[in-house]
Order: sequence, then structure tokens, then C-alpha cells
Amino acid sequence: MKILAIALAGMAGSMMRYAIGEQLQHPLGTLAVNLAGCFLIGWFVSGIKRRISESLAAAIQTGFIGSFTTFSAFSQDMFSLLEAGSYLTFSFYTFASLAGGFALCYAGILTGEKFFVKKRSVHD
Amino acid sequence: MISLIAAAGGAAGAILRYYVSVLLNKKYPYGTFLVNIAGSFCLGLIAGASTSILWKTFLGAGMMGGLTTFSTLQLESLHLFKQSKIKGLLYLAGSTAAGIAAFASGYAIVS
Repeated sequence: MKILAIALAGMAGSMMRYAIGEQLQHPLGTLAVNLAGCFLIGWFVSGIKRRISESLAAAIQTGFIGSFTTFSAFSQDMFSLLEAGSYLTFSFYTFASLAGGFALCYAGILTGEKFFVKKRSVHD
Repeated sequence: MISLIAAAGGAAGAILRYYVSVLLNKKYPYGTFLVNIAGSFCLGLIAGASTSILWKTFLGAGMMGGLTTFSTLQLESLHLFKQSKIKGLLYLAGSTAAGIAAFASGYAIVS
């Protein structure tokens, strides 16, 4: 049951990633999904995860957000930018992905915590 | 329509990533590192191979896209960073460098 949920959520995440990639110019699609996914995962683990079942949490975190973002395309993008000699774009893309993803993940955690604390204080 | 092909591959990749993570992500995220680097290598093979766009979408954007993950990598590096700044940065930089090298190796083998 849990595996089926992860598979279905993985389908949804991959499909969304693919659809967004088609709309944006390379490599902005990968950058956009990866940055958005980093915020989402931080927000999810600190805010909602503890309120839902383990299977649903695995489906959302591992299945959906995990598949929505991608590391293999990130590797491919860096390689192709290097190969093309686009060092400036390479530097910007790599820095934006790594530093941006890290910062957004942290921002997501802070947002989730705030949301969680706020919600709980209503019930107290 | 072609996004459904990516979706099918993504489901398979996500399940595989889940099992590897459960097995290997104990004290350190070895499982995530493994799927990310192996997935980058395989995407290199796929990108270099002369197969149809449908296969490339299913295996590349779908399976390898679903197998590998960037969000989990960042979340884990953040957790490691809180324990030790060196460990967190090393995991992030190491994954990135190994990812490029793995993709380049896969690509070089087939093309």
C-alpha cells in the first residue's frame, strides 16, 4: 500500500517536472523545479509531516517531492554547460542550484515551523 | 501525452529510490548519494546512446529523474550542516562533483 502510494506520487511529481521543463528554457526548468522542491520539502518535514500517517508522508516526501526534483538532470546540465564552454552560465546555474536550494530548504523549514506553532497555539 | 511516459518511468525510479534509502540511509545518507550518482551515470549512458526520444524520455526524464533527487539532498545536507559545517558542505560539494564526473563517464562510454 505504501509502495503504491509512493509510485503514484512519484508519477505525479515526474509528470509535473516534465511539464514545467517543457515550458521553460533549458536549464531553467531543472533549476525551477529543484528550487521549488527544496522549499517544499523543508516546509513539509517541519510543518505537516508529524500530523499525517507514515505512508502518506512517504508518498509526499519520497514520492512526490523526491521525484519532482532531480539530481541527474542537474549533473547533465552542468556537464553540457561546461562542454559548451558556457562557464558563466555554468557558475550561475551551479551556484543558484546549490546555494539557492540550501537557503530555500531552510526557509521552508522556518515557514513550516511557524505554521505548525501557530496552528497549535489556536488549540491551546 | 509524452509526459505520461515520463510519469511511468518516474514511478519506477521513485520506488527504487525508496528501497535504496531505507536500506542505506542510516547514520549518513549513503543511499541518496548512491542513487544520485548511479542515476547521473545512467543518464549519461542514455544521453549518449542513439535511441528514440520515447526511450530517452521514459528512461532519462522518467526513471533517472525519479530515481535521483535534489530536494532530499539539500534537506540532508542541511541536517549534516547542523551537526558539522564541514560534513554538510562536503556532502553537497562531493555529490555535485561526483554527479558531473558520473554523467561524463556514462556519456563518454557510449558516445
